Amino acid sequence: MNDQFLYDIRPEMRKAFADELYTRLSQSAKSTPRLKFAYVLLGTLAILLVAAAAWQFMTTNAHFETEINGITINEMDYKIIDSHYYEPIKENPDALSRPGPTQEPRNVFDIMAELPYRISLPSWIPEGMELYELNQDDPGLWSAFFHLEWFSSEDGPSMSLMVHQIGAPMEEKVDAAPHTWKKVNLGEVEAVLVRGNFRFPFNSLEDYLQYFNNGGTWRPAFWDENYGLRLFWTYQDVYYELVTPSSGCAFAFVQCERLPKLSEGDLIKVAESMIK
Amino acid sequence: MMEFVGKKARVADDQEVDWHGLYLDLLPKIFHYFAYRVGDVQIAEDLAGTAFERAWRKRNRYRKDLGKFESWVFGIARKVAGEYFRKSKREPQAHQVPNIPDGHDVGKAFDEQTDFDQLQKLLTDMDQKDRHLLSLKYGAGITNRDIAQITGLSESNVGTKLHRLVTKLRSEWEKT
Repeated sequence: MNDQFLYDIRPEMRKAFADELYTRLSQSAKSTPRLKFAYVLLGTLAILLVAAAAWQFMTTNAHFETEINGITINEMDYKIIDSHYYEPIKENPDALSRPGPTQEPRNVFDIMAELPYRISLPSWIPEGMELYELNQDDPGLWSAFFHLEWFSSEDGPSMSLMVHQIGAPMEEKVDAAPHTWKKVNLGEVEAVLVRGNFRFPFNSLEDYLQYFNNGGTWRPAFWDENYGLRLFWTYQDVYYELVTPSSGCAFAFVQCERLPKLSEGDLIKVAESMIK
Repeated sequence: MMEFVGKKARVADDQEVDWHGLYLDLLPKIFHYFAYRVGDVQIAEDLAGTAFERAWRKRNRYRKDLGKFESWVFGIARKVAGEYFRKSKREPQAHQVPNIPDGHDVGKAFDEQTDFDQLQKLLTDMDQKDRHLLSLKYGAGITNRDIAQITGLSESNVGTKLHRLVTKLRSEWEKT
């Protein structure tokens, strides 16, 4: 077995497949004129919907899908979650325990040296909190998704920061229940503050395993306004998501609402210290 | 063959990309990447189609200043492969039908298919990240430098990892 063998062993690509896919993509590209008509029709419908929604807003204070500084807020009453979303827990039962540090505290400069692109880190954090962990989804340049964790000793609050580059094949989207978010300003940068989250939809390990063993694939997660605080913004082509308590609790049976978290004021203050 | 919109399409920041040329160059690489990753020609076709359609739909998110278009599409392909593996844990896959392109010698094609199946058995036991690397190198046939850009590893690290993986693969192959 040599390099040439490993290249030669590849199955040949069918020309018919390449032609069919090309045709499919071309048709999707050529459908632009028809789309224009569809856009006009959709535009008219959108105006009517906006008018109807505006009337509803005045009477019931309803919200819509909104974009703030590159962050899309998608409002929904409950969220249907595919079971594979929970598979990491199935493979790693340790994730079911209360989130906490699994490594030694980290030096912020070492962390910076590991990042393949420049991000802002907080110049202020509440007293007693230490940076413990840096996890990355994949070392790939495009998919680089970083996850930093701060914990306090004993029963103090915890905090997570998730970042990725704008332009990576990831989304800058927040799912939230209506009336649970607000726009805040971090200096001159607009951000979205969300109070609560969709609750981990299992009450016990038995409930969770029974669901999987019975071949469960979908389960609705309902909103819990005490399920932590989350702040989202984009700054200098990077997406930031700052969460308290640590994001790990969103996947645990330990209820997030019982874990100590930062106050809204402190969370915003941490974020403000990241804007130069 | 039909053509994409004027062969070129605008992406983010008014940058132009030659989609026709990219399609001809990239599709075989993406297909062979998936063939190595999943070991099934039909599934590789489905996944390559999904990755290309997704790249086309999201083309306005590509930014030239952050990396090569090829790296961006392989980023999407890696995500598509990840989604496939998560899904295939729940749903059993259909049995593979040997792929014999028109005009090919059936006996030779059968031998090649057998070798490929044997290789796939060895790859199945490997870590997904290792299989991703081998698929980029020997499936997509791209250089260590380009693999380094796609994976974020250094070029020398890519070379070292691949050398170790192929040595291991060769040793396992000789045992079979």
